[in-house]
Parts: sequence; C-alpha cells; structure tokens
Amino acid sequence: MAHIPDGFLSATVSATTLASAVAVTAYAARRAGDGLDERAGPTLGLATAAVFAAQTVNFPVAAGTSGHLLGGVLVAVIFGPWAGFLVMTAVVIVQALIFADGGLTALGANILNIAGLGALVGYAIYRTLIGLAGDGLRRRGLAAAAAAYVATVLTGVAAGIELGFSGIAPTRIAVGAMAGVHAIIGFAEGTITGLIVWSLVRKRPDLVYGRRAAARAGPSRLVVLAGLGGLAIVAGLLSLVASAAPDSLERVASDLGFADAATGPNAAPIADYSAWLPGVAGRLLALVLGIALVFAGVAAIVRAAPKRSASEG
Amino acid sequence: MGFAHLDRYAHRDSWLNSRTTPSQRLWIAVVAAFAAGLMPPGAWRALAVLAVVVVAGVAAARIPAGTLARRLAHAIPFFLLPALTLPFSVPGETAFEFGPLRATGPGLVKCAEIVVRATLAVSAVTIVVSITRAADLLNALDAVPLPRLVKSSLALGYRYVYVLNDEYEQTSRAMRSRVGRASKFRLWRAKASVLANLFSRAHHRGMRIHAAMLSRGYTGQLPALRSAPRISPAWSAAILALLVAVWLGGVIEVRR
Repeated sequence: MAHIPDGFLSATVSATTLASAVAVTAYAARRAGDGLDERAGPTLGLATAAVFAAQTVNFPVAAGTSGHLLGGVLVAVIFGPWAGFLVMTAVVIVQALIFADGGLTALGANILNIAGLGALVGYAIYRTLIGLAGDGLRRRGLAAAAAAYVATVLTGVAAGIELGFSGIAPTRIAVGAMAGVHAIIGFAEGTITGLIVWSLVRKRPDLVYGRRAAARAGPSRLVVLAGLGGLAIVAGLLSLVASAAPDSLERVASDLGFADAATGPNAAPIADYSAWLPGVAGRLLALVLGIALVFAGVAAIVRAAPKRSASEG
Repeated sequence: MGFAHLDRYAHRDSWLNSRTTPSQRLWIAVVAAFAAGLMPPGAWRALAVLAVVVVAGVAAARIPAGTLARRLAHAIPFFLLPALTLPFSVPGETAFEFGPLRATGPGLVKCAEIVVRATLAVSAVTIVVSITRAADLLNALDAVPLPRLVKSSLALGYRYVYVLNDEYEQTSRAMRSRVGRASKFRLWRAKASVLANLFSRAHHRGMRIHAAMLSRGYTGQLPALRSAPRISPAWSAAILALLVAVWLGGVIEVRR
C-alpha cells in the first residue's frame, strides 16, 4: 500500500500534507530547469509515459506473486531530482484520478511519500553513496539499488506516520506495519531499479543524470545531509529490529492484544517505558553501532564493485 | 493498444453529462472525495445520506451497475486489506477472538467507517471519471493551479503512454525470442534491460518531439483541441452545495 486511499487520513493531516506538497511542487517546478534544457515539457511528458508503461511490466517474484517498478529513484537518476519529482507527481495524480489508486484527500501525502521521498530523497541517497564509495559503472547500479530500497522503506515510514497522526492506529504500530511491508517491497524496487540503471549506464552513460556537467561538481551539502538523514533513519530502524528483536516482538504482541487483556492496552506501554529506562544508554549504543554498521556495509558493498571507467561517453 | 477502454461511457448522454462540463465534473469528483474521505468519525447518518447521493449519481450518470462494480473491484483491495488489520490493532474491549488474534469493538467500528468512507469516495470519483473523456479531464486540469511542467507532463504522458507501451511490447517480444526459458534472475535482467531501452528511447523521443514542437511555435503551453461545451454552472453549483452540506451535516452530527 504505497498509495494511501481516501478515508484513512484526518482532515488535519490531509490539509497539512496537501499544503506541503503544493509548496514542494512549486519549488520543484522552478528548479527542474536546472539540469534540463529550457522548457523541457515534452521530455518530462515522455518520462511520465515511460513510468506508466514500465509500471505495467510484472516481475515474477514467487508463488504467483509479482512486483513492479515504482520508479521514483529511477526517474530521478535519469532526469534529475526535481524533474523526477514532477514526473512522479504527474504519475500520482493520474493514479488517483483515473485508476482509483490512492485517494484525492491523500493526494498531498502520496505526492510527498512517493514523489518526494522517492525522487528527491532517493536521489540524495544515490548521490551520497556515490560520493562515499567513488564513481563507476557498476557502483552507479548498486548505489541506485540501495537508494531505491532505502527510499521505499522511507515511503512506508512516512505513510505510517501520516496514518498514525490521523488516529487510525497507534503511530508505533502504523509505522512498524508500513515500514515492514515496504521493507519487503523495497527488495523488488531496489533490484529492478539497480538492474535498469546498470543496463542504462552501460548502453547510454550520457543519459544518467550524474554525468551531466551541472551535477559533476559533486553533491551539495544539503544533498549529502538529506541522503545521510534518509540512510540513518532506515539504518536506525534496521538496527532497532536487530538489537531488540525479542523485545519488540513482545511489544507488538501486547499491542495486538495477544498479551494479558486485563492490564489494558493503555497500561502496557507505560510499564514498558519504566522497564526501559535503565537500558536507555545500552539501547542508544546499540542504535549508534547499528547505524554505523549499516553505513559501513552499504559503502563497502558499493565500493567492492570493481570500478569500471565511467569516463567514456 | 488504444485509449478506447478509458472512454467507454464518455460518449453516452446522461443526466449528469448533459448538465455539467468536464471541468465542473472534475470539481464535483474532488469535492465528493473530500466529503466522503474526510467525514468525521461517528457521522453515520451523514454517511448514509452521502451513500444515497452516490447511488443517485450512478443513475444520473447511466453507468451499468456491473461495469461500476468491476471498476470498483479493481480499487477495493487497496483499502480493504489495510482496513481489515484495524480490528486487531486498535486498542479497546474485546469483541471476538479469531484464533490467536483479538478483535476489538472500537477497531471493528473504525474498520467499518473507513471501508464505507473509502468506498463512497472511490465510487464518486469512478462515476465522474467514467463519463468524462480522459482528454477532457486533462483539459479540465488546466484550470487547476498546477505548475505548467506537471500539466504538460500529464497531457503528453497521456498522449504517448500507449505509444511507449507498444514499443515495450515489440522489444519485449524480441527479448523473449532471444532469451527463451531463462532462470528468474536472467529474466529479471532481461526485462530490466528492455525497460532501460524504453527509458532511453523515451528520452530521445522526448527531445525529437521537443524540437518538432519548437519549430511549430511551442511556447510551453499546450493548446486544447476541443473547446469545452458551454453549460450553465447552476447544476454543478447545486451538486457541490449538496455535497458540502452533507459534509457539514456530518460535522454538526458529531459535535452534538
């Protein structure tokens, strides 16, 4: 459920997300020209059409299920982050209006989650990873794959936060459930995005946005911050799951109502928190270590890819 | 592949079609979706009234119930599956036990509410969109304060999506005849390579089209080929007022 349907968001969340989406879209429209030719309408129109065509292509996973591309990181890597954001915004609008995929009251939230986190933050992660690991043909594919995975999980986290703030379910549960689902979807999105970028970078390296002069100077500080921030959130979640797996399972169980009903669902978290306090330092340490490990892992994987020259056009 | 299936009911004469323009209908769809989607929790009577309005809308739009049901069946899993987890995740008193899971009363109410709200919103949008040509809908978007690049992306995306789809089919057929029975990983790689081609071709086609459009005097604005029919906004205003009134009724119902 990458797209939030109508009926799930409260009026406040709907209005807030819509207003922020309008602001980001207006800013993106001003910036989109930076990496593209002037009045790039036709190119972006064709990109929109290509995303739609690509989303109909099914990749068989297992047991009759299949996944398909969402495309945020991919269009950002090919057309640049701001243009990619506009393309994904157009895609989300059509999905809501014509295909009833995602609601109109959730349009702002879906634009922020799918276009914002997919294209903008996803691209920032991609650039940051390339900055950390060095450039190369295979590294671009791997960096795009990692960025697509992380951006997909972030999309789930954001949707969970929005659902939680709307009072649908306790935020903790909503975020956990949505991040969990997207942590699985992300594997397909990351693999497909990585394979496409890898293929594209061998056939037409000039089409991959990082190649163009405007972007060759290296990522700006803001891009690096956004990329590191996105990575840190997902790494933090992963390490929390890893370090406190039995503990958090127990908590989910009590939230879902497996545990003793007599204590009441409202009493349980407080009891949990008081039990937590002595271990806070340990948890913090585990979190920091986890984040560092994940970072080191991703950078090592991307760096381990043999560096094939990216210089020939 | 063509567009025809999108516009199947757009050419029929119906009560709704003859009294509203496409852009008025777009606003009706948006306001209906907001009235249903943002109906405050607990406003059951207002939801019931809204359901009557939506059913009346089906009749006024002359869409066969079977067709509407088929289009809805496509959209319903998107909200039904997440909504079905709510009885088990919302805290409250136990209503019934289902294996190891415990469904709560408030959870069941919340689930029912969301399903009703979502169904009404999706139905309203589906009705209005089904009786409007996709091209008219895109023209109607011109009046919406969206950045020009998003509007032209929407219009050209619609214009070329089936062209690119056909192109994908061609390259994909060629790929299948070369790859044969491949392992799953090789199949993924082959498909990704075809998609990479699709994006590279789309990029080039975009640049060619851009050049061709510039030579025909393109200034960034896409002209509408058909002008919208002139219809008095009275009926649309009445429908919009009705939808807003039902929503306000829901707000008042909850306040009391």
